[in-house]
Amino acid sequence: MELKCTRYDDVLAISITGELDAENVEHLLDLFEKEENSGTTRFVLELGGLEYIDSSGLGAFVKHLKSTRNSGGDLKLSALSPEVAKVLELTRLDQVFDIQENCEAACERFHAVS
Amino acid sequence: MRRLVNDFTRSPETAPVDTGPLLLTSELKWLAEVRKWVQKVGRQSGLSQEALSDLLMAVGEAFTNCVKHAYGMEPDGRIQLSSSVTDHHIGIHIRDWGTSFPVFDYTEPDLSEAHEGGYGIFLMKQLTDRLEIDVSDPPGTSFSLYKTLGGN
Repeated sequence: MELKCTRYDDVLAISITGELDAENVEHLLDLFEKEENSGTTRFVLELGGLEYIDSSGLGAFVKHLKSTRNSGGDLKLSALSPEVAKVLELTRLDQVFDIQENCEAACERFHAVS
Repeated sequence: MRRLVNDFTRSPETAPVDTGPLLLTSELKWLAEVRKWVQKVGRQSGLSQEALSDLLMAVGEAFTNCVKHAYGMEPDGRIQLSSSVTDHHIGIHIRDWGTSFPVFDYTEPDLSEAHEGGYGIFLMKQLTDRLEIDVSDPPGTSFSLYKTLGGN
């Protein structure tokens, strides 16, 4: 798994590529925690290159979603691969997350509602 | 043929993959190798790409469940993966010898709420055509996950 961060004003976009599973999910959780501790509350995950996700990865998304919303921010998802879209749909988490077609649209959503 | 992967000087990325039974230690570092093995078994059986993606995820959940819950993340447990293929389906069997899965206590997650955990068994059921959880030969649990050949 590879994590790549890009900052757009007050929004941090994290591109996740490769395979996210129970073995490497700690890297993502550590990044979330580090950014949250430095005051970031607006996150977009760009998932076009995420080929595999398991329930540990989903759990990390949900944990950070709750944390950011408690802080007045949000975690939005964008550019879902078919595999990721399927598990989000099965778990009905597609109804919990704000999901956008691409990273730019997700960033714009923050500013549209602020 | 049975293979015990316990050479800790060898990284999982370089370990050979075959489609015979695979015996691994109870460590999450083997997840990538488990996926490679399932891919090889699935492709040899003629499973569709979509069905293979489902099976990869379901088997990953089963292996992770064994490591986390059967062995409590202790790395010295054993987990065996094997396969069975008929004209109609492919089965992947994951056996551990740790704490048996509490099959009678299991409840599905409430999907009206978002959870940080508890989706593993649910996804195994949703992503396969049949899931069997056998705790009749303690200690341990045998998960059998089936996908129909020729389907999605």
